[in-house]
Amino acid sequence: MMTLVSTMVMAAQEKWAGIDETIVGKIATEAGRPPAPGMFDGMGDLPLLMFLLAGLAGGFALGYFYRGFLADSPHANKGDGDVV
Amino acid sequence: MTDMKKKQVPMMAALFIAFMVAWAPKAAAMHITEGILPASWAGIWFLVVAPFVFMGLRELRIRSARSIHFKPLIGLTGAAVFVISCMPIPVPVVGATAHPCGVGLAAILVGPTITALIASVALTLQALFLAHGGLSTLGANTLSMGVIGGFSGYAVFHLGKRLGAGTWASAFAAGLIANWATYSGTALFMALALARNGEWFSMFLAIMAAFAPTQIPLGVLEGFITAGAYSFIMRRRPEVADMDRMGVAT
Repeated sequence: MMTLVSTMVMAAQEKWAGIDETIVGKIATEAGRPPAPGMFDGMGDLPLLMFLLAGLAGGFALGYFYRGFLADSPHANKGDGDVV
Repeated sequence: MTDMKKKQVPMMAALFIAFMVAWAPKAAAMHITEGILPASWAGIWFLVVAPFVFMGLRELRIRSARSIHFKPLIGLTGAAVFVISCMPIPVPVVGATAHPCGVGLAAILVGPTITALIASVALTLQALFLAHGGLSTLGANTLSMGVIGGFSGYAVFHLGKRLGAGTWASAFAAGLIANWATYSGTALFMALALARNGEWFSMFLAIMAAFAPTQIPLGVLEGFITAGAYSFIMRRRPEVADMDRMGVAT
């Protein structure tokens, strides 16, 4: 219960922090196994660049395979029917 | 696209990946972070998850040979899992962010073993390039997201269909349960590895209780995402329903 309460308090303190930090990291630290330092710690905007690149790559792949798999379908214009 | 350009794309991708692998010093952050699991537990989860990934590889080869549409479906599903599972979504009630998993959708589209394979690839890329998860915890994270999440979502979907629930409702349940099962797996692995004096079950319950405020609403959201995406794909490509484990689609 102490872990739970302290986790909730920490979550409330750090607005929009990820639960991977506020719960997973917090519990692991209390158990004596703190997370290793992040590879982007202290590297400024590099995480933003990496997420931008990941978003671009992921978005490109989604669009590319969407076109290959769904846009060429003979049912491509059936966009508003119900599936039961 | 010309032949020259087609040859350049994989070469550029390989160069980019080689550069990033050479450059990346450590990995940490999302799911179970680098350094949290002792080496013994990390090794056990690698051994447990390996057969599922190999089964996924085998099934991918077989089904790709049967259907020309299967590889584009795998590409679409893999990209969706990669994007969805690194998307931090704010949960206003808690004031924290958490991420959906995408494995419920993947499992009902391509089957659970290929979902394990897709999750392993997505989590490896996230660990290497996005500081999400970790390389030493890759086995545990793949097991929780790809295997526990994927198989539970797949089972719930087909159970729902067998019980007479509609496609939309079954897909919703698959997304919801896959999300909750994934986080339950994460809680279990952490509790087993970190609990002292054998009190792993109480620690498991405490971690589950800590996850609940974010994952209950996020699981519902993932249910809607899964049901919406699956229904959309079924309208465009109804033959996907036949691309099940042993299915042969044209």
